[in-house]
Amino acid sequence: MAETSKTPKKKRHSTSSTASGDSVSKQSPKPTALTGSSRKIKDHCADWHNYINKWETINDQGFQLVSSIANCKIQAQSSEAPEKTVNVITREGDINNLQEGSHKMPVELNDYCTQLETAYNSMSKLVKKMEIICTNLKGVCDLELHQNNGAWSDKPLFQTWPTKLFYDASSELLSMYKKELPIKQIILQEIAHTEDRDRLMFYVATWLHQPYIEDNSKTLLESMLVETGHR
Amino acid sequence: MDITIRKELFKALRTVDQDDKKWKETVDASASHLSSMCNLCEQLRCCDKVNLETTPLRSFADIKDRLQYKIIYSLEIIVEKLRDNLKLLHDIQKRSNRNYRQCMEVYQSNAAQLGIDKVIERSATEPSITDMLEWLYDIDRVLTLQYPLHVGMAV
Repeated sequence: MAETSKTPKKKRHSTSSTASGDSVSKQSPKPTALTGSSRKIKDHCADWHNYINKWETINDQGFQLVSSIANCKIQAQSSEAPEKTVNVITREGDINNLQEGSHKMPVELNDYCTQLETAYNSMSKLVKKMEIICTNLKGVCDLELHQNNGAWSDKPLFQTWPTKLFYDASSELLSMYKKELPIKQIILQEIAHTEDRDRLMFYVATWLHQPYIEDNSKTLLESMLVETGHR
Repeated sequence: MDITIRKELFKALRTVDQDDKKWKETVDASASHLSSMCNLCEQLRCCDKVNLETTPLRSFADIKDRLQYKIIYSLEIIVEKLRDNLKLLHDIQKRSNRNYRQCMEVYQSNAAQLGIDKVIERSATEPSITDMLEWLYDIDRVLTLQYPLHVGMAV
């Protein structure tokens, strides 16, 4: 039974690429005609699109959570009751009595942290899947070199891109997300324990703006999709 | 002559209602942009104040620069949108000024022949020429005062 070709799921962001070039440039091979390496590359480009979209969705959810955590912390600081002893529920579920002057933490803070951890775990799984894409594309490149006695094929698999360019683009994207993931982890670990308002805002801004996901990531992704005929 | 001036005034006053709506829509749309700008400026301020060496993110030496770049990039996008809105407001203000001046020119070129009686004459269905000129002058003055305020807020 023929395996159905993967397609990018419904896009979240509008892209600048148009289909107007189709009438001028060479068309990519139709899905039913693709086999072997070209099929693998096309499917992986669709995977990149889906994983990046999923990452952005989780990032937006995570941003709501880190904002909520930061707001809880700031509100707790502004409404402190120094004469009372308060209980704080830790992440492990223990209840600790703190000294006078401590802030009362809202109960929902624990829920937010748990949800944020879930979001982080999902992102971690996505990065592992991205690593698998790169490994597979490396395999495709190695196969092409082997078939052509150590040289690259003269004819591109799609329109213009040599096979290696798909691997290079994937590696570049993977490197961005691999650098970003540990930052998410540090924010997850630190944000609920941070008292300083400026540091809280810094963590929230870092989560939102994703400093290591560079501007050209969108261009790289769109280029791969246009080259393989998804756009 | 009287009819010429009135035609000119009615033409000018017809655009006032549309311009008023457009002015309010543009100002309302700008409010959300300004709020986003305030938020981003606050993020930039906090990013600048934080001592990275005292945070677990100290191993990412260039994270502050990267974050500041991203925030400034977002700010520039919003500033561009605000600039477009300011241009719309400026166009409305210029149009109002042009309408008033055109009407005044027509009036001044025909004032002597018209006579004061015609100019101040009102009816049950139409205001006087002086009333309409005064309204156009007031509208132009309000917009001329308002526009620099919006420019100041955006800056």
